[in-house]
Amino acid sequence: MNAFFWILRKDLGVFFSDRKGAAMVIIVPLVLGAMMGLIFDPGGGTGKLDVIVVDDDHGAAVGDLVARLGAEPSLNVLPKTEAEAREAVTGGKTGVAIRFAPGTSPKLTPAALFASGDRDGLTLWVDPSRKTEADIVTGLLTKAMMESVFSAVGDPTQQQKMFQDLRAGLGADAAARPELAKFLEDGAGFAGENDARAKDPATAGSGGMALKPPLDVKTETLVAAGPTAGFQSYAHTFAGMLMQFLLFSASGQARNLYAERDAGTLDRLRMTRASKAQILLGSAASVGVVSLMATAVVFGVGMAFFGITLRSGPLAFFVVALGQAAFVGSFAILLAGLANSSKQLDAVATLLILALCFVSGAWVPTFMLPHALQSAGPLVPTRWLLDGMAGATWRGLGLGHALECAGVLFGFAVVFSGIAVKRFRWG
Amino acid sequence: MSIEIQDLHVRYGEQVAVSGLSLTVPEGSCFGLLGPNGAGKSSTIRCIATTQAPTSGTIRVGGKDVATEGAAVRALLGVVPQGLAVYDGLTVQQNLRIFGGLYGLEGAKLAERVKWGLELSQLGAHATKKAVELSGGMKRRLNIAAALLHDPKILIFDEPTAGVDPQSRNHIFETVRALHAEGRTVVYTTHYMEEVEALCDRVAIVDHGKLAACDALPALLARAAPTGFHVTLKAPAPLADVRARLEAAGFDLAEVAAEGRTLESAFLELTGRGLRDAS
Ligand SMILES: Nc1ncnc2c1ncn2[C@@H]1O[C@H](COP(=O)(O)OP(=O)(O)OP(=O)(O)O)[C@@H](O)[C@H]1O
Ligand SMILES: [Mg+2]
Repeated sequence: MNAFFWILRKDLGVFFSDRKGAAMVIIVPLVLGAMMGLIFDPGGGTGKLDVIVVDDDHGAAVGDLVARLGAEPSLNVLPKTEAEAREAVTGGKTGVAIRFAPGTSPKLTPAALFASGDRDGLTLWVDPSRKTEADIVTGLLTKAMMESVFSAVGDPTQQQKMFQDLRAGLGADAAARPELAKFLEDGAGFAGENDARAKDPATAGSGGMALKPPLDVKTETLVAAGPTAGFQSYAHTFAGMLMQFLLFSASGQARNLYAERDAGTLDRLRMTRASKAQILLGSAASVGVVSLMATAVVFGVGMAFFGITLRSGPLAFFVVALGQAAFVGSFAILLAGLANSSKQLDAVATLLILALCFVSGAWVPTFMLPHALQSAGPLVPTRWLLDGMAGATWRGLGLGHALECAGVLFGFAVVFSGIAVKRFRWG
Repeated sequence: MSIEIQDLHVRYGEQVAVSGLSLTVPEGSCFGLLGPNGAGKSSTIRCIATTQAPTSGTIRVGGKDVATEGAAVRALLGVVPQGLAVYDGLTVQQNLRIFGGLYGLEGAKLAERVKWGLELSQLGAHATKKAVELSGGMKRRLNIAAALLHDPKILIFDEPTAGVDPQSRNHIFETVRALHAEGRTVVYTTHYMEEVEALCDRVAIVDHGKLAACDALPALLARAAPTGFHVTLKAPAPLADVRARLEAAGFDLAEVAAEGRTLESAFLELTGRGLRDAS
């Protein structure tokens, strides 16, 4: 046998020496595959997109429109007041809100379909980091409006037929009512003309009297920091990637603990006055300190070169960064406690980190997740972390929001540390 | 400060490492723990050190039960592990400071003990070197110093001379002797019989996790049948002379050899007695 095969045998032998770890390495892709399948399965109860509806109109036409939106299988309509809607959108809880101002109902008439020039609008309040959701809502809203205003007379052919039928129905009375007859004939001619225009590739889509939704949908982005404060996509991506990196470096620290166990230094630490909790928490704190330094560098560069601003002030950002440090530090020792060897750690860490990143919305918008996962948001520390980071940076949600998010992260840190201290094995 | 082990059993799954070991290490003794590979020495030491729970049996260190008074036991003990358990990425000084700090030393006391540790290990000149840059023997000495910073009353050495040169070994011997002379109890484990003979006053031999013998060194030696005699002349005489006169007296001689002429003495003659890396 040549050296190649000896190396192969050696490495396979080493790999399978930890049977549980080896089994986990093989099972984790299965679990991950199933997890991703669950997340992106279009058939199996995919997530509904939350949309807030503020009905300040209270008219019948708007009522009908809202009912149609509610019937959309991909929308989850949440009736709210204006104040609630603004808070939900600026706070990042809901991506889109539709507001029907008083007096909207009367404008939802077939006549409005033909109106040209300045048209009345309908406002969508949008979280600027969730424009995709706004686009989806705009499409569905337009569809609902069209359906609501006219159902049967959708296309010019139908309209022409409608006018012709009416004219025919007028019959002998036409001589007695020439204006009406002329109107119906003109209408039919006009509809026919429109039909021809619509079918002619040269003029297709060009204005004229083509039908339009009764109201223009105008989007307006809402940011707590103020009307001129826009979305900062770098603040969003930096926070997500930083979080991901920190979670991976936490798993590196868990690996260090196993290395120390193998090297005997862990036993040596146990011979000192240090308790198990002190050893593990100290180790977690080192991850926390590195996390704070990495955060300072990443956002420092982000502020200097990528236009990131701390719209809730440096203190709020620091509070969230502290929460993040506590969370990733405790995550390191949680991993060390849950796994029992480097190989098991590989499997457990990969699974947890990928799951935490996915569910956090760092990689895919959360509206794409199944509803169960979306509503599990409060149980997902990374969701709180990214919320806190967004609130402290581009959203500008203030110190209170930062304290809330950091508080929850500290709570997770306490629970994770407790589990770690209970579960960690020395040998 | 004595160590009393009673009916100690240690099992790793099916593997029996220690099986009904009972022995007492008297206060102030320098106690040699001998046994072939896998005899259960390290397992016993880990149980004394509280880093491993015995499968059954009791151990008392200075009257304190390892099972219930672990912290008090650890405060009495300085354990030098068989493996080189220091932080490679940290300097010699940082290693000592961190272990000293973990043993509860602070401020001037910590600085003083770190200085003591550097002297003890003769690593003063390498204080700012990372442990990874040390030679095996230097690392051994750091490994020892790191266990003694809190001035423990009982010292346990688990094969402290594995892989060191004769100079470093002699240095370690002197260290052990000096620490013992200051009144500390010492437990010393090794495979080198001459080390035990040179250092220890009391010896236990374990095999297959059981006690084979435990006695004062001279008493233990007396149990072995003599294989020869050692005659010391008051004044040096030529070897041939000695042989001739002994033969003349009617003895049937197998070997008459000059003393002190060993490979080690030649080695030390050629390479010097000082620590190679001390400067
Ligand atoms: N972690 C472990 N898991 C399983 N078996 C072990 C473990 N540690 C030691 N053993 C077994 O227990 C027995 C005693 O080992 P121990 O290390 O105590 O012996 P020792 O006397 O110190 O040997 P050496 O002189 O080689 O250092 C051996 O048979 C060994 O294989
Ligand atoms: Mg051993």
